[in-house]
Amino acid sequence: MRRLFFAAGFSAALVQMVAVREILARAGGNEYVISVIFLVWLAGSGAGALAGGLLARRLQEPRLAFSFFLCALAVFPQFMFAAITVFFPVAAVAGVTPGFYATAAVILIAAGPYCLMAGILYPLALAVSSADEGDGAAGIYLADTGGGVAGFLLFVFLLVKNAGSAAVLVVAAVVLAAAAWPWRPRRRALMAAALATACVSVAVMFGALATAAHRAGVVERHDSGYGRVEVVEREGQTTVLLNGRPAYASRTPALAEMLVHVPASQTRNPARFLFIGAAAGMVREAEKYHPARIDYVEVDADLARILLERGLLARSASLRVTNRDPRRFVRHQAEQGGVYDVIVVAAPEPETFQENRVFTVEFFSMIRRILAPDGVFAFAAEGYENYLGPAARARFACLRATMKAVFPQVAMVPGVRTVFIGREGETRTFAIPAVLAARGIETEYLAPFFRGEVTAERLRYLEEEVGRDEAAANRDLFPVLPGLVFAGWFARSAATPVLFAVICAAFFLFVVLRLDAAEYVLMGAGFVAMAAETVAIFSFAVLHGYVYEQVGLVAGLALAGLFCGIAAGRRTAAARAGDAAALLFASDAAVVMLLAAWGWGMGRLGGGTAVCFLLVMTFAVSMLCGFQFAPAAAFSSARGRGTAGVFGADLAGGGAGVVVCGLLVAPRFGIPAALFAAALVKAAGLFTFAATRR
Amino acid sequence: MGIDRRDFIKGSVALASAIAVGGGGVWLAARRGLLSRSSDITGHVFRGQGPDSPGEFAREGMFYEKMGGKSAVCSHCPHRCRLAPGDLGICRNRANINGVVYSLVYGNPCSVNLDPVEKKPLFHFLPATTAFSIATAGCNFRCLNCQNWEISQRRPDEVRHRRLFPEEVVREAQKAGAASIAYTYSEPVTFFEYMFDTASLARNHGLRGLLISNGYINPEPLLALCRVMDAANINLKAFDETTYRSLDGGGLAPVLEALKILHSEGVHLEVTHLVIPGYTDGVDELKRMCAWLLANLGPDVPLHFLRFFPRYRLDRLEPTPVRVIEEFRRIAMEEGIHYAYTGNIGISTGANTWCHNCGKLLVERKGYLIPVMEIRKGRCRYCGTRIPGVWPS
Repeated sequence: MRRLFFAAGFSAALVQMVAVREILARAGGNEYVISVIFLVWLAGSGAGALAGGLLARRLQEPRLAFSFFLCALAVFPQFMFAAITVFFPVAAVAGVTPGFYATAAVILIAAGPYCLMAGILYPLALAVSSADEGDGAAGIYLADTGGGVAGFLLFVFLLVKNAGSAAVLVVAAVVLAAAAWPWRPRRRALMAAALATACVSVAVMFGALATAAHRAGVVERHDSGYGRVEVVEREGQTTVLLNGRPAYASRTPALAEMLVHVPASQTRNPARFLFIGAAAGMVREAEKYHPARIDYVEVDADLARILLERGLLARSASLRVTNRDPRRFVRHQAEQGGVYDVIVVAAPEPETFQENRVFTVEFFSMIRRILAPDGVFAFAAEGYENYLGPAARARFACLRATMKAVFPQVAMVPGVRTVFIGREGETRTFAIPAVLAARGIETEYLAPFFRGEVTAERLRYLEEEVGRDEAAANRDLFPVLPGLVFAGWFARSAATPVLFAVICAAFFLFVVLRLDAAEYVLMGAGFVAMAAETVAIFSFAVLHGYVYEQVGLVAGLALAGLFCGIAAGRRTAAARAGDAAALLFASDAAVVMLLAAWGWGMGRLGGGTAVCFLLVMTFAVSMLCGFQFAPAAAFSSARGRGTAGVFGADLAGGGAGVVVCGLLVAPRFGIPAALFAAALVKAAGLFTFAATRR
Repeated sequence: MGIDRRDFIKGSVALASAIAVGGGGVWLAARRGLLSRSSDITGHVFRGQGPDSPGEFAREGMFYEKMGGKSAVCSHCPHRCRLAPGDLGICRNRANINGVVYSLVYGNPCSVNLDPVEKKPLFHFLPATTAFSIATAGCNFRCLNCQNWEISQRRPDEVRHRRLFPEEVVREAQKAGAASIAYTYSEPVTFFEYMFDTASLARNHGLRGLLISNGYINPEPLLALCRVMDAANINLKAFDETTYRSLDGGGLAPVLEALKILHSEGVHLEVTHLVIPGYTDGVDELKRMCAWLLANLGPDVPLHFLRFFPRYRLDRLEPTPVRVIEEFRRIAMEEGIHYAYTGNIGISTGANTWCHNCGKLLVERKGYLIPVMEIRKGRCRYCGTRIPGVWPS
């Protein structure tokens, strides 16, 4: 049975990664979408575990149901893949990014049944194996988590770049089917039906794959560690799409001209350029200054290669491409004494905490260290055409406050995007066309259209509107900007996250009210484990950069901690059978203290020490959370509660941890506050448990 | 009560069949394109969301019909919203307050700018002059690609305004040296009273009126407007009713009617068509559009083809290839349109004006700069052909 659950955990991890990749490629990659996927996964599995408990109690012959759900679990991912492919175009009209609720609905429809079935398996497995409930549950959970670690690491380090989604799903299905073979239905007719279903499911998946590949004009597609990159060729135009959104297109010089010439026109001798990310045509524009050096830093090597190969960035003798995390690059340059006259961040405004790290006060301070005294720093923000709406206003105010925290002079120049420039000396906005003319630099957009884009009225309006309200600067550990970007995303689809929050709150309240004290402890453990993983990933991204493998390492470490904790908990619970309550109480207290220590240490440590501290804390907190599973299951079992509730509570708690810490607390109150929230939940569990025991 | 094996198998088969039939049906429909792009995004009346009493910026509507029980039908645009007391129209800025339909945005524009007239775009109307441009919150369309969605898709109370009544608009426009006042950005049809009064007053002060609109307006208000308006650019968003409904939430027929009225009433007219990949880039549709324009407005109405860029909700379509825009211009001219232009593609010869008779370059446009101007007293400097439009004397 444990081998089977190891395979189930392994398969589920692969399926989850494929689901995340496919959904992000269609719905855009932001923390809300990612959180909804994890929420559906965890809460769906939790609900499945509760339903499985009911089913196991009522079934006269649970083995048949068990083998049925095993078969279903092996073949359903293919249908899930097909559903993602088919329902996203249904959820939104052509060319439109589906809104939050449409996305959530598709995720629920596509992934919900799989998660429910995965959850149902736990109690059915216990019913089939008739093992001692407490230890059996912990054993299954241990095997499942171990499989999850293996699947996750395999995907992150090997499959993500080397295998398409269909291939990964086939691997997941084959592994699960092989492990489930001893549990196959004994009747030939049922077996034939199962095999036929498997064949149909594979056919469905490849049919869906054909539909997915149907986008007209796609000539190249890559799944890099940072998302899906597609190249579309149509009528002589090359467009590069990132996760389905056009990010670079040929013959669109406006943004490149703004990003290069607005800052370059402020400085006397723009000879050294640093581009962090790029817009199509930026190198060509920079070449007009005959620079000594153009450094282009792009963390995604596949993307940089495609841009150069497709001519969206010109090849030039002065161009040096570096595929490295921008923060590490800038730090390295600062250590080496590198200096630039013009530094441009051409990354999109952050929709994830990982992307946020090039828009923070800390990063801008690093930039300033490598900026020449006469140098200029610039980036562009979207959202001002003729009026600045509330979401854009808040974003602009945050960005300006972040710039002002580092640069004495900050200016905004409207156009196809609004370019923010920061420098030591004075900024000269209206002089831009004259400077370009004096230098003999011709532009297709900037100078010819300047008269209509940069007027005294528009500049005055921007200054007044952006400066009207006090805004907080965006910082590494207090990332306010992604929250403001999310607000804009909700505003565009005329939606509000309030309904989502209410639904989640009602669901979790319903679950909490039905929990026993031990189950509550486990729900808290699930909550803290997922919150800790989320915080660890956010913090690691801030400290170390958005390197997919390393973020995967953090998540793998959290799962490994969970795995070790479960193993340790099983042994301890077996050795001290009567002390389950005491073990739970002590481990709860330890979790609270660890979280407090984590919160204290965060921000006080720097460099390699901070990374080590983070990794140690991630492992330790996850281990303590895993440790609680076996004593809680034993305690719950001793009180006559089924193990289904134990599984359900843990998984539902995980879902709550993702939503509360990842979506509500971290973007609004900062990453340390998310740890504080997790500690609060655990402390509440401690008191509840103590009160119940009394 | 337990479940036996037979019940379980029956239940499982039923569930699997339901999922297979339902999912298969949806998939088949989706693959045949039956589910995508079939939605009508026309807005709806906002029940009970209007104000209780008219505020400082409310003015009684010029065109509406009172119905029984204090209900009223707003008749400015073809939506003809039937409003009960307290209701807000589709446009979000016209409300029924105690049986009277009010415009809620009279004198409080949320966007005020001084723009080159070429930005509207108007290429045959006082080139190189500036237009004092105003807009209020609200629109009767729901365009997926609206670049001004933060004002057009908002209620007046959701945006920040300026207090600017018609007299002040005229005063500020004169102070700024504008040649005209443009009613633009969102949808001026929805702030009809404010536009009408301002345009009437501006005309007395020598300022021209520019209507930059989707043309979704009923004939009666449009005829009234023609008396005070000097030029119009109508955005003919598509030449297909279905596309109008799914892309913009409006209809084609009323827009065509509006074009005919503007032309016949002598308002200088230019037409804009945004070429959106997959929506409005069909050559057959283009040819039908040109044929209609030629038959109903003649060959002299300038036609602008604009390149689409991902905006607002339509953010997963690539920009229109430049070649397609240039091809559209070529086809339109081949079909008989005298003045077809390209837009949103940077500096291009397609943005220049060439005499339709002698083919010489008359107006060279480099963005908003006009380095060459060879029209004298409204005629080609080379062959003397009259060039349609309003030109500086």
